[in-house]
Amino acid sequence: MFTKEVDLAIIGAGPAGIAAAISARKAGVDNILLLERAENLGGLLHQCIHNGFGLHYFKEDLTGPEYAERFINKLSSADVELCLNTMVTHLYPDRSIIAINQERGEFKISPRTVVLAMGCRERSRASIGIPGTRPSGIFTAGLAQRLVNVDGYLPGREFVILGSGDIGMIMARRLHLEGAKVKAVVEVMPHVGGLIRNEVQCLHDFDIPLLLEHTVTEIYGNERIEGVKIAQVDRDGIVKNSERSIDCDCLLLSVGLIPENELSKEAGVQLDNRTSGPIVDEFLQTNIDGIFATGNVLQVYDLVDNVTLAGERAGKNAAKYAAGTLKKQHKEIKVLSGENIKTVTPQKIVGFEDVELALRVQQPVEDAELIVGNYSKKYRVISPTELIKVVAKSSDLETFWESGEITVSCHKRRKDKVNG
Amino acid sequence: MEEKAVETQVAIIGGGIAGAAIARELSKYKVDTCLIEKEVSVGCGITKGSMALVHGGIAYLSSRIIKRMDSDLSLEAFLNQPLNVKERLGEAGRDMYFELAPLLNTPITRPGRVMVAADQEQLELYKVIKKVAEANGVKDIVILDRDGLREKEPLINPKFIGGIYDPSEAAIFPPEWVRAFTENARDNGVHVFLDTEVKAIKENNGYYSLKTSNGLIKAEFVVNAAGLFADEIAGMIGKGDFSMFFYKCQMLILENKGYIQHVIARLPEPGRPRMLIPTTHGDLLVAHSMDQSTDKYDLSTTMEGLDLISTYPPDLIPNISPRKDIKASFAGFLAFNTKKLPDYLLEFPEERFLNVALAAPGLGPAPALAQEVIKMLADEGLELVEKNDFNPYRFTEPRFIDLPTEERNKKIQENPAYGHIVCRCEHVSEQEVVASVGTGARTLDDIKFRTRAGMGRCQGGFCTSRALQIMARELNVSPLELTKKGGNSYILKCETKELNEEEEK
Repeated sequence: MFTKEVDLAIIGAGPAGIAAAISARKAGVDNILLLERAENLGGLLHQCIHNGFGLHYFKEDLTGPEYAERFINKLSSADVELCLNTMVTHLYPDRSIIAINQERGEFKISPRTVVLAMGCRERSRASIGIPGTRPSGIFTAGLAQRLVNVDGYLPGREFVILGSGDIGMIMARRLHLEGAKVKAVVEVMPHVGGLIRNEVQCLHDFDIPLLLEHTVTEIYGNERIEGVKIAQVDRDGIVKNSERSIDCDCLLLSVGLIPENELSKEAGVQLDNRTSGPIVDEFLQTNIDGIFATGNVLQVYDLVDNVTLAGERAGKNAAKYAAGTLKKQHKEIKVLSGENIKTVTPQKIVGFEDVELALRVQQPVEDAELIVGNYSKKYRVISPTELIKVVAKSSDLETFWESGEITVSCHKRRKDKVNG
Repeated sequence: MEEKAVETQVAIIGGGIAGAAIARELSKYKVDTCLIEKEVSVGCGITKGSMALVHGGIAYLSSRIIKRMDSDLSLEAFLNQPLNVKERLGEAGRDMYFELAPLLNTPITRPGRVMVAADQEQLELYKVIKKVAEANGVKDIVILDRDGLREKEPLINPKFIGGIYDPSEAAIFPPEWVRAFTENARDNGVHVFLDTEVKAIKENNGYYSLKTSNGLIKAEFVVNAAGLFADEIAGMIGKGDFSMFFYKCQMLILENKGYIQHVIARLPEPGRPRMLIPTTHGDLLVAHSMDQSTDKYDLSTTMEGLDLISTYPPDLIPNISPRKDIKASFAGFLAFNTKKLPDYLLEFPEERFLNVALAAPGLGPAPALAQEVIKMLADEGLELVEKNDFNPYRFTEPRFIDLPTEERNKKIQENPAYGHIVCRCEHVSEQEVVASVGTGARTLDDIKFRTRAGMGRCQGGFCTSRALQIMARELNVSPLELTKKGGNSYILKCETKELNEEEEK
């Protein structure tokens, strides 16, 4: 088998992988191979033809393809070897990679360093188990987005959208603008799953009905979907006698994203049950020496700007690792999720520098206080839909090396409890 | 205008496991045969939604226990009753599958069956089953004590005190076997009519005239293997003295994260089989809930049904979390004819018109059933002369991803479409999708069941758009014409901009 030796192999050329490649190159890594299974660079950005990208990173409002283009241009002048249409089939604990493409056939890559940037996939109907028939006309929102924006076809004309993830809300607007009717966006939680700005700009601005605390309880239609039953939900589950039918010829699902870690698992990378992504330190290195993870494979981000930043961080640290200049202590601080924390990365701290933590809360909190060890920060509101970034200063971490643990938590500020 | 009829010696109605196996068996002889299927693909009726098992001996015996309730016989005497037709064919059919597998190039696995005992009474019952089974020539049955059970299935719920083990229980992927029988029959001259529904049958001058949605077929002999619809087909010649009654069975497919090796079953109770089945694809099938049904088209799942079957896996293997491990849920039918309950109905209600109205299970006995049917047809006057050019082999390409590396690379060199992997979960190449279309796949489900593209963890999220493009290109049609499973199951509605243009008009 043809074997290729490289300093750094990056699996996935979405925004995370591209950013990792550019920053690793900039940090002096010579021999970089970027592997991508699709036919294009930029991952799913090319099907995200709406705007709202780059507000943080470029302070500009760009569409997905425009945002991608900026990095693709940078990449093309960065002397990074690309393998498009290339499926990585195996990743082993010794970091070796097996991939297949048309030009080389099946080949092996022996990299000194690996960055995992495979992104995430959408939860399907199967994984949430909606009862009913199995007709055509049920799509994940991301697949529908590709069918509409890339392939040029509408998958239906009367839609119900289950789940209010960002892609679902963006598709609601997109379909509305295409002349289709979006009869309802149905969300089981008391708040939308995606960004508030998408709730406003994609649903409210177009009078698309949003049904919070509702879910789809049945799908009907034998050949093509003919409608769904929806019902109200509360803490005890489905509210009796609240069921009603909505006719539709298409159901889209925007019910969550799952990091794609099949390769990570094969390589023996330890995963975090909360994020479903690898357990990493602040350098984004996994438990396997020389394997880094970044972007949506690490945790599901809401803004591509943050994915880019995470990609840059992984690329920079992979470069340091390759050069032998990654400075780690011989001990670690575990970062624990305390009260009202859903996820936090990194899951462990091993270095000497300040550490940026990225976390998500479980429940929305107004007048919130976020606590990291002895440090606390006030927020007017913290919502589960947004990833919060907070820096733990190395000086603040000093006292935690001994116990080896630091807890992150978030609750309502104490002054509100004074009355009691 | 009178349309020209297709004339044939034998018309087999129904392209399920029975009809397909019969068609292949007939294709060994110089007999002109038509296989008629109302759906666009074979094997998508009862066969598709079955439990995917070719039962071992103790499965038949243990299912007798349910029927013992009204009997005065002792357990042993009851179990010792002679085998009925279904059981006899089941015993014979099992070995035939293993002989056919290399010929038809179609996999069968032998996970074996472990039935668990919740208490001493059940364990004693298994001992009787073993005794009867052995007296009937079933070999290698083992009674398991607590440790024996744990050795077979280390993760089994500790509440079970033992069980019985039958190494002969086998698993297949039913639609693939139906396709294998059908393709091999077609290669040997059988005419296969898909998307062809029989609407009416008339007997005149020694012929049966079958009026179908696809024209007239005239046949000397008719084999009614229409599964769930066998009663309606028999009714078309005025012989509807039986009906098919059936249960809707809801099932789950879970990811098998090394949970089990064998088919695991509890002692069956009416309506609650409670089984875990390792499939030939490496998944886990949870079978099943049972609700008597009257709607032959209703394969919907229900909240109650899914909730009920979700309790089975943790009962057997506490480590399994159906909510986390679920890949798919679906429903199938378990059907019986009313006339010979619980046995098969094999009879000529009219000359040269053979009812093959089955009763669950239909899968395991099928190859032996086919031989039985041929004998019956011969006795009814069908002249059987063996072909000397019968080709028992069905050629299939092995799955690309299962080939050794050198062969994969050779294939990619010869045809680069092998190097383009279009399904990320099951690693299916573009060429395999192209080849499926070449061998008759017309729908997205056809592609799924042939290549497994769309069957993996993302359930088509990645490959659907790609598969549609490849199919449209290969069939030279617009993607708008493609369907999930025929009929009105179109996938795409219209091109973008069309709705807005419509509105402007």
